[in-house]
Amino acid sequence: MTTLSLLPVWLIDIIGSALMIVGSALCLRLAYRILARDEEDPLATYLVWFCGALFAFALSRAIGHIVKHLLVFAGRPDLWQRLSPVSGSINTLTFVVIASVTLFFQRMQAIIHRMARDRDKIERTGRELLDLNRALESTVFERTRVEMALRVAHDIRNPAAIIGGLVRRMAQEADQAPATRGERLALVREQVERLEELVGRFESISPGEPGAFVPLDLGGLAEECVALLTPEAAEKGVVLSATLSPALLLFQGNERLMKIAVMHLIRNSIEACQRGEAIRLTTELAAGGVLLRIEDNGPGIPAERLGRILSPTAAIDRRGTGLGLSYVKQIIEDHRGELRIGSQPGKGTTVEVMLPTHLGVLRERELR
Amino acid sequence: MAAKRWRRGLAGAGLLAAVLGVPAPAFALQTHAYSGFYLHQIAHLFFLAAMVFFALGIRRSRFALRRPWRLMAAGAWLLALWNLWAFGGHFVEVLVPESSLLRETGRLVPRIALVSWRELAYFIIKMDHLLAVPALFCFYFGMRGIHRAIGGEKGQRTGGGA
Repeated sequence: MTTLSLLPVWLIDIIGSALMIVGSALCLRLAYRILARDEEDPLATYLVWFCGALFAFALSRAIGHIVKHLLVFAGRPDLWQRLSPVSGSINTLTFVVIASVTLFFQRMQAIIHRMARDRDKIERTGRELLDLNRALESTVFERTRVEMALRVAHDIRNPAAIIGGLVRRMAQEADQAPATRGERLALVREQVERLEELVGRFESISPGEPGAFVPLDLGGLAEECVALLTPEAAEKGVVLSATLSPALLLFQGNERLMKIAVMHLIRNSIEACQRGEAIRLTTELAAGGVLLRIEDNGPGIPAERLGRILSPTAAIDRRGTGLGLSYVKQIIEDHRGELRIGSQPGKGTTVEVMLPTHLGVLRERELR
Repeated sequence: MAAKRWRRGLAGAGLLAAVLGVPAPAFALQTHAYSGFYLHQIAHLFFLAAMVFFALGIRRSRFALRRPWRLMAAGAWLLALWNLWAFGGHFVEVLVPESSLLRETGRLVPRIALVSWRELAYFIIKMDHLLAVPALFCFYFGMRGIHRAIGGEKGQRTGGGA
């Protein structure tokens, strides 16, 4: 009678059981890492459940098999006879759990599909809102311009008519007495002075017209933002520092809006960085403008995300800071500046804000 | 109306008294001497079906375009096959008599006497880890691919999304 040793069967069983524990534990670890990236992602949550069930299945089965072999080796197969119904029942339970979790996958796909559709809708709506905002701004600007033109015409009409009448009468009455001429010239001078005063008034208000822009120092602004956000960075264990240019880096801007924009950029870096990582701000004078650079050695942004990071929906974050980077972009663009973001996954991210130094540059850019 | 309700109440009370007063074997609690085996086998079939649905769900969705998810589907197919294998294995196990397993003194590992096809089938089918382990490693490589695809190790930046 042919007989075969069960050694290969036993070896495969023991080694296979150990490998199943290792494999499923690695799966679960990866699932938790995926979840850590976005705790609200339903797919990541589902993967944790799936891998958790897989781990429970592998563990219960493998422990059962290993304990069985150990007890047989120890000469206590009778003990295994008593334990095996418990082990088998737990194993059966894990089959049911993993099967139930897996069957939920179809529903999960429907949820993910629905979320993608909603995201597109929000993105479209966000774009429409921004367009509407720009259209409103341009309408307000146009209306203000027309009102100003009408006011100028009204205010200039009277002195211009008086000057015109006086000069015409002086021309007609060439032989008039010098005293009368002197009186009329004095009247002309008076009206000319009124005109000059009017022009001066318009000159004084015109630079401040678009959104109360005033000369601002980029270094001072960056320093204030760093001071405000240092406690927040320290709480997270992130090092926030600034290397500012000793020169005054002046630009025309709205202080409140520029502070919001710079603080949002810094806060964004703090959120992305982990404990022990660092963020550095630098300011410098660049060709045709002033430059603010925010660099971090955080996780960076994956290439596929970098392309759409400035879109309205990509910027809606969990902390509810509003329209996020798209809003920052709009503020910078309203200052005729540029927002540039570069990143290398695993190495860090650099954000650059370039602002024109004076109105001449603005006009050059507008002409371009 | 009240008399009718009274009669119904009386009939109900009589029935309750009969049930409680005349006890007979009701078999309310059934023993589960053999149900464990069937339950385990049904669980294998449930597990198998779930894995097939999972693999088909991936195949029919946009996930099928991505290699990590194709690996997850491969893992699911292998686990489905493993369930079928184990399902058969449990039946074969029952068919092999204890006398076919030769436990010689001084030897830790028993030998199996190949008396019929059942013993040979038992020998082969007991090596089910040859399917289960590759299935788990397909899941592992799939998960690793998914993790890499969403961009590495650490926290994400505002404006992202997996």
